[in-house]
Amino acid sequence: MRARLFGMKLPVAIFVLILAALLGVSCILVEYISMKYSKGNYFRLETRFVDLEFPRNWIAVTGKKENSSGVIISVACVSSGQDAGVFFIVYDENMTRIYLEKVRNWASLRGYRVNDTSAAILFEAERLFNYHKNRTKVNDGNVTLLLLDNGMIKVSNYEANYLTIMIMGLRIERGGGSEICNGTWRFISWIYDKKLSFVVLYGIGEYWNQPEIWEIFNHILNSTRYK
Amino acid sequence: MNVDEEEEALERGGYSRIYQIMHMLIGGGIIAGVFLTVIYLLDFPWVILLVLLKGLNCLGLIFYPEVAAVSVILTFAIAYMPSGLCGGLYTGYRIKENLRIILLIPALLGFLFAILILSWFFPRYRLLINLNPTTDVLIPLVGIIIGSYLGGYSMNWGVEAEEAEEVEGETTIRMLGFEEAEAEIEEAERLERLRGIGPARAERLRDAGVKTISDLAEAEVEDLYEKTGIPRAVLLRAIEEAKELKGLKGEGQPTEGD
Repeated sequence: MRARLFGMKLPVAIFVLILAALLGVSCILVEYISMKYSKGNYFRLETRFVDLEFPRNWIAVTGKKENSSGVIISVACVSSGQDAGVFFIVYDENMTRIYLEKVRNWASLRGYRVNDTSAAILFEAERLFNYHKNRTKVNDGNVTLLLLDNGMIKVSNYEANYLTIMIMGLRIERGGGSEICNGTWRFISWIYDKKLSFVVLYGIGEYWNQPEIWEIFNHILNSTRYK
Repeated sequence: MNVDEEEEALERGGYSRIYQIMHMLIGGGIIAGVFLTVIYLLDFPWVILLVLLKGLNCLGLIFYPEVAAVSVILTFAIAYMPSGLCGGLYTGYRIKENLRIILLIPALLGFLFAILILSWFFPRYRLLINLNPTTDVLIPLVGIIIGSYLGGYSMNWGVEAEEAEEVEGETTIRMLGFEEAEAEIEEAERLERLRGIGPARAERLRDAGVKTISDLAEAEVEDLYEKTGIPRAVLLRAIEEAKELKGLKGEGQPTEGD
C-alpha cells in the first residue's frame, strides 16, 4: 500500500484527479450548453410566451408568476454590470383582463383618457418612479421625473405604444459605494391575441445613449418572437 | 490476567474509545465548518461558476436550467469533497486503526452538524422534508464521504509499507550478522591457521576428510599419515594445537600428571 501517482500519495492523487475530471466535465458541459443555445454572439432563450436572443455576456433571468387566475411570464436581460437591460413581461388572457381592469380604474381616478396600453405604460412608469422616490427618500435624496417622449413604435410586427422617461437623482450602488445618477426607461406595450405584452428598455447614465447598447436593444427586439 | 491488569486494560480501552469519539467529533466539526464556510460564507462554487462562464464567454447561460447541473458538479468538487477531505485528514492523522469504519463517522457527523447549523439560519432546512433528496442530501453526503476516506487514507498511506520496510531492514541486518558470524566460524576452523599446515597440506587433509580444525582435533596421527603422507611430527604438532584450540586437550586422554 505505498503506490504513488505523479509523486503524490495515491489518495491525494485520486482526489486531485477527481477534482480535475469534474472541472473538465463542467467545462465540457458549459461548452455543450453554449453550442446548443448559441447563435453567433447571442444566446437563444425560449419561454412559454416569448423567444428571444440576447448577448452572450449579458445575464438573462426568466420568471413565472402563476396562480389560479393565470400566468405572467417575465424575462430580464441585463448587462453584466446591470447598467442597461431589457425586460419582457407577458400576461396571459385572464391576467391581462384582471390587470387592465386595475389599470383602467387607476386611469379613471386620475382622469386620463387614454387607451389600455397607454394607461398600462403610465401606470408602470408611475409605479417605477414611486419605487425610486421611496428608495431615495430613505437616504434623504430627491428624484425628479422627466417625460422625454411618447408615441407609436413597431416591435416584432406589432404596433405598440411607447413612453420614454428619465428619473434624475437615482441612487445606484456601484463597487461597494453608492452614487447619484440619472436613469432612462422606455416602456413599450401592445396587446396581441388578447395578451398584454410589455417591453421595458433601460440605461443608467451615459449607457442609454451608447450606440453599442442600442445595437443590442435592436437585436433583442428584432429577434423576439411572440407565441 | 490479574485484576490490576484487567483494570488497566479497561482503562486503556475506555480512554482509547473516548479519544476516538472525541477526534471523530472534531473531524465532523471540521467537515461542517469547511462545508458551511465554502458554500455559505464564501459562496465559492458560485464564484467559480461565474469565473468559468466568464472565461468561456458564456455568462448569459448562468440561469439556464442545464447550468444548474454544472453548478452541482462544481459544488461537489469544490465544496463537498474538500470539506470531507479536511475532516478525513484530521481524523486519519489522529486515529490510525479501523479507518474503514472510523472515517465514515466524521463524514456523517459533519453533514449532520452542517444541516443542524443551516436549520438555525435557513427555514428551508428546518423541515428535512423540504430538502431535495438528491441535490441537498445524497450528493453532498457522497462527496463528503469520498473526501473523508481520501483524506483519512492519505494520512496513513504508505505508513504500513514503511514499517514493513523497517522490519525487513532489521531482518536483513540480522541476516548479515549471521553470515558474518558464519564467516568468523569458518575462519576459526581453517586448517591453514595451524603451524606447519600450508594450503597444500590443508588440501591434502581435506581430501582425506578432515575439513576443519575440529575434525583434525579428533583425528589419529597414523591414520592421517597413511592417507595424506604428511610427516608424523607435523601431524602430531597440528593435532595437539587443534586440541588446544578446541579445548579438548586433556579430555578423555591421560595428562602428563596422570
